[in-house]
Amino acid sequence: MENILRRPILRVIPVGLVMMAVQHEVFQNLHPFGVVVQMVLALCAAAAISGGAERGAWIGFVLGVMYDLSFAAPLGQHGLAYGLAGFVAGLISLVAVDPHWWLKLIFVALGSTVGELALPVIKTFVSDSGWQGQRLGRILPVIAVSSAVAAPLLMPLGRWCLAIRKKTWTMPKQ
Amino acid sequence: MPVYSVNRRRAILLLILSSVLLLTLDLRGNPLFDRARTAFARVLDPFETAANVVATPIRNAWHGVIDYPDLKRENEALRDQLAAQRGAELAARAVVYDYLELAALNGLVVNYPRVTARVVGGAPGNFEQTIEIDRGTADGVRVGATVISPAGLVGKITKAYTDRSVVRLITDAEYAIECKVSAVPETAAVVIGGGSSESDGSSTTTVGTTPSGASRDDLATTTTTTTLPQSTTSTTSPNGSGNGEVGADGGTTTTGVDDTSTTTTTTTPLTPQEREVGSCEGRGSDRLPAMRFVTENPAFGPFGVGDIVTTAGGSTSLAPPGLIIGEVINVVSRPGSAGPLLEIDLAADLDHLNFVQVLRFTPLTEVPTDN
Repeated sequence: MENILRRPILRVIPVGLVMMAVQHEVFQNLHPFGVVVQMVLALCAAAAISGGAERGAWIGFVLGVMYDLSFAAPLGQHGLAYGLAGFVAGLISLVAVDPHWWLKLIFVALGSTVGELALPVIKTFVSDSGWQGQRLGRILPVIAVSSAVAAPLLMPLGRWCLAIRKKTWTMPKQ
Repeated sequence: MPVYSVNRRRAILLLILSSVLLLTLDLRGNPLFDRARTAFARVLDPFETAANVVATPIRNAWHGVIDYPDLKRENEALRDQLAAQRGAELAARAVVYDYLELAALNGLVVNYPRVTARVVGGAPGNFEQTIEIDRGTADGVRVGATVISPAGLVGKITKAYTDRSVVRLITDAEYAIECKVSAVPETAAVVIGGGSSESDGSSTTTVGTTPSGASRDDLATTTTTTTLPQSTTSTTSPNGSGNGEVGADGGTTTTGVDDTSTTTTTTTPLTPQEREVGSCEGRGSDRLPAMRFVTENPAFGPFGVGDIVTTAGGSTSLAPPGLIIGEVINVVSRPGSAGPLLEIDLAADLDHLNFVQVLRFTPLTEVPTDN
């Protein structure tokens, strides 16, 4: 029973539902500097810091598909972008074995930025809206900073979703 | 641990392939996905309700802190604007009454059924211009329906669920609609009948604008000076007003009389002159929507700032004709045969929408026939 409850999918879905609701009710209506802050994206990147690239891509894909279902976007559009965000955040976290806390915030910010940047690229292929990169100069810094600010809260949540225990270093027994 | 590993490559390939597969299936139209969306919306609904309860004080506090100075400034500016608009509104109302009367006489008045809806959400991301409303298919809302605000066109329904719908705003780059540009004729001196003012019975008509308490764009004054033989002098004054007065209803009012001539000043609302039909397209939130595929017609002169843009209607258009979109704020000349690009200042304030109306209008081509 405990093993079943520890399955990540059973944790990601309820957490995803709560995050969707928070995104919909809170962040969709608050626009710091005219930008919609993306907390779900930040969660994908934060989870990948502990989980690594593969699990980051997985949680990003699952949360992204939930996002598409929730916000009537073409199914798979956010799945791909958020999956990339998780993958990149997990990949760049490999540069340090046990990174400092501030380095983790930077990784989350970078992962979120890649995910947000991927969205207009994907939209260029799946819709006829064309490239709308004029606002990216304002959107990306806000997304990066907001993700970094939320990362201390989201990293433990991401770790719990992926059922990962926090790393502890112990002295080897003599 | 190596950065590139088989597992990692496999993960990214799987991610891309799964996403592309989902996208392909969804973009081709898949009822299963639509049902999944509806079901997901049902599951999410209680979470959203709970989040709304928790988030409302946070939202209010945020808006209180961030928006208060702007709101105060805006309120003051709006008061000034309201005072300035009051005069123009009276004149415009007269035009509307005339128009409605004429339309009714010619059997052209059509009232489309509407569904009033509350805006419950903005765009979920930074690359869409959409809003969410609290009415859906259960209220008769369907995909493609036109959405308006009291000021003008807002957008169209792109997704309709049982109790909510998504509206693509007119600023979205994927939005386009047939529209027409109309203009009040420019002030011009027109001489009819040879321009002679000799006492031979000919008449001279001069059209020009005069201050009348109404907007310059709405009203113009036609001054007719007719020289008549002494034996046939006659005058009429429908309002019975004295010389020099201008009636509030915009009708005939002033008559000057002497033995030999009659001067009549008639304040007449000018009918907007339809010029060209084109395509009005959104260009993203940071750029104004624009009208394309128009050419300048020498008969009407060049396009100008202030020209009115309305929906053109037509058998295939999703919107009925005559809905106000906005006014031309900038005319961008383009080389070659591209024609000018008319940038449009929208009549509806898309940043502050609270309530909108969904028109249950069906294009002629989609009206079912008995045959």
